[in-house]
Amino acid sequence: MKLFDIAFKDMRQSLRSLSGIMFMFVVPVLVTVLFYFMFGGASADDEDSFALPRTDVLLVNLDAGTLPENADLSSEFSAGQSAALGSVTSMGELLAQILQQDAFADLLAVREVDDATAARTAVDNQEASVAIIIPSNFTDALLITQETAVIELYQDPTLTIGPAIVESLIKQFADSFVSTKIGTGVVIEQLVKSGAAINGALVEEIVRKFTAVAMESAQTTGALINVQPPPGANSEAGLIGEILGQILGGMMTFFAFFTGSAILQSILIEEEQGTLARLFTTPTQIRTIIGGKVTATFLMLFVQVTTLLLFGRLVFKINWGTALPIILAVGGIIVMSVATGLLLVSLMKNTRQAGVVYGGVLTLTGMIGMITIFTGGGANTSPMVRTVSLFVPQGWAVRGLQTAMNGGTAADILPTLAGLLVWVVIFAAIGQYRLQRRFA
Amino acid sequence: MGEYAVEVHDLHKDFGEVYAVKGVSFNVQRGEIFSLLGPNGAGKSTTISMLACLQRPSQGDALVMGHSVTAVPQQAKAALGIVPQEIALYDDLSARENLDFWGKMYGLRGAALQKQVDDVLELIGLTDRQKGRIGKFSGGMKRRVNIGAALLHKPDIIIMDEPTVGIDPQSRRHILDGVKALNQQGMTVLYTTHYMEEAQELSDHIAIMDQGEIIALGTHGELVRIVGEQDRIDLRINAPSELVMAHWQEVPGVSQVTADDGLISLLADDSNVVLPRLFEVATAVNVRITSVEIQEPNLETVFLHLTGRALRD
Ligand SMILES: Nc1ncnc2c1ncn2[C@@H]1O[C@H](COP(=O)(O)OP(=O)(O)OP(=O)(O)O)[C@@H](O)[C@H]1O
Ligand SMILES: [Mg+2]
Repeated sequence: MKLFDIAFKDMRQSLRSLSGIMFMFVVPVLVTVLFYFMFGGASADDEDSFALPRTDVLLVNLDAGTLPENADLSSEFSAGQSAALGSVTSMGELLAQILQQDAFADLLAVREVDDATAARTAVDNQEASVAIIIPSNFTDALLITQETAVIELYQDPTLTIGPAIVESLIKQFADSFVSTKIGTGVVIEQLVKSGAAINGALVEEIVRKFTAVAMESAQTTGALINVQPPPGANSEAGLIGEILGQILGGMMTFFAFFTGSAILQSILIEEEQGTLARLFTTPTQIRTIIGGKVTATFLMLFVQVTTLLLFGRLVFKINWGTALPIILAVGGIIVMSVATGLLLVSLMKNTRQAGVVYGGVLTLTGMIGMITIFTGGGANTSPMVRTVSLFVPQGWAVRGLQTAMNGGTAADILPTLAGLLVWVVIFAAIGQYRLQRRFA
Repeated sequence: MGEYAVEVHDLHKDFGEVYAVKGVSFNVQRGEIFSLLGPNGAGKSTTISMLACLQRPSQGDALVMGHSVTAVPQQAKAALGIVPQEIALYDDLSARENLDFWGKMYGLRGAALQKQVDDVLELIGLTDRQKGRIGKFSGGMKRRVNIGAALLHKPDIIIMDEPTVGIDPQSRRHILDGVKALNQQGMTVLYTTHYMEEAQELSDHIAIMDQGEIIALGTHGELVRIVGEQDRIDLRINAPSELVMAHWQEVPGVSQVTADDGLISLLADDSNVVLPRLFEVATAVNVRITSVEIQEPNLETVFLHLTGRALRD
């Protein structure tokens, strides 16, 4: 098939072009690594070449409650765990101890202070990244039904990674106790219904047991820092992978659009070098030529994206999500890049114009599209920012990828994909029409 | 199918204000070498690009092996091999990869394609350099690949648009010999050039083109006879040419006095009679003749005779 002959010829040319290779593979990886170091990841351990930056945490423990039964909970723990925890008198203290464990020493630098206002001011002055304020009713809320307590996380809005880690740790802690609380409530209720005598000691005993179990799970899962749902993520690499994944995913999308445009720009290059006219002197249809170039672009983008995904997986241990969602998301990136490239090339007069316009337009729209990545990605991004990013095709492309990385299912991605396809159809139709007419 | 390989009927092409081709008609017989000879801007490439179905005629039509270039361009294209005036190859691919690709565009595949590529590499003398990237080739080598790419599908007709422009004498010789060899194998050749020596050496028929029109057409012998037995005399003098031109025009047996950058050209019925008179006139107005050259009638003379201008650059 002539279409594939043209496609393979174009691919061969792209793979021989140094600048092509740079933009496709080297630059996205370099930028990812650069961003990573900008976030402070330079202090690499020997053990783990990608360590996270340490986050300065101010801890204000206002918890006034006490654990039942003098709470020497260590008996419920294994020897190692109780040694790590020591004896605690309140849940606030327990949380404080968990956060100050050696296991988190690389991630968090926790300092306990007494005054909540002072702690907030310190964060405002960027002396600390985040302040954790444990309310006075924290123990009571966890152990007594009907009462609620809110841990306040006061964070520096310009930072994303440090506060995210802290938030995730506290969530895990709180989650395990919330389920305990529900469990406790249910047990008590059932005892009442069965007519058993309820005395304070029995309730306390039940609560104590549940608390011990929950603490154990809080302790172990806390150490895992399993921040986001993707299965298989483990240890520190999971979180690092998520952050690097956001950046590499963003870079991959950003540069996929350059690849798409660069390969389709060969239409203009061939026009200027006379090979397009020569192609037209052979019995080859215009749509075969355009089709060949579109195919080349698809295949090269496939190579680029797969390489980057694999690279991210193997080197940065990035978890891209499960198979089907990521395939859909990546497919979206590819078709959107091709359609944008086709539209752009059809609007250009010559390569000189294309050089200027591509650089400007794709950089600008790419940055707008990537805005969700640089404002923290995932769930933290404000709706306004999300909306802005959807004014450009890159925003749609990266949205699917983010959904997949945040553990979304194929069904979660479909709406994004549908929106994206509207762009694709419009862009491709205009591009194809204009090129056909131009060379007819 | 008619007796002609190419039949051109009253082709016109205008680009808005510019009339590049104004009613060109000619026929190329099967198996011959036919040349379009003309200076820059004569309309040769425009005529050829209409035959190659690259540009639609504003008016008129042409048949290539009986296929109309306006009605059934795909058939016409398949019968043609086109060698474009500007080298049209992929610099970042090797000679072999280029030929391979262009062969595929003419529908060749597999072993047949590989054999054709081998044969063409042999023909253009680049078998040894087939793995070299075109971008690193010399101008002459590129020209040869440029021609080779049009030969892979063994077309009935090959159209070559100034294939020898800007190359060294050795490559040029190689190309001219190659054209003759192809023709001897039965290929019809339509050749354009602004070198009259090439047209003279190669062609069975020559059409002289100027300003979008064919101003003369025939064999070399027929064309030269247009100017009769006139000789062309080129002279240089030690003064501005205007001082003598009007006087020389008056000399009996002289026609067409032109001057171009200090070189004065004129046509003379018999240079033996005319030359002494030219010297006399020059002496009378105090001008010295510093050089004289006499040329037997040729296509150059014909062009000068027909247009009053020189053919050369
Ligand atoms: N696409 C175009 N648009 C406008 N004018 C054109 C175009 N192509 C050719 N011309 C004009 O038509 C005339 C004939 O050009 P053409 O290229 O056919 O001449 P040529 O005989 O091939 O000359 P050369 O020996 O320089 O190749 C020239 O005046 C040229 O400027
Ligand atoms: Mg020309």
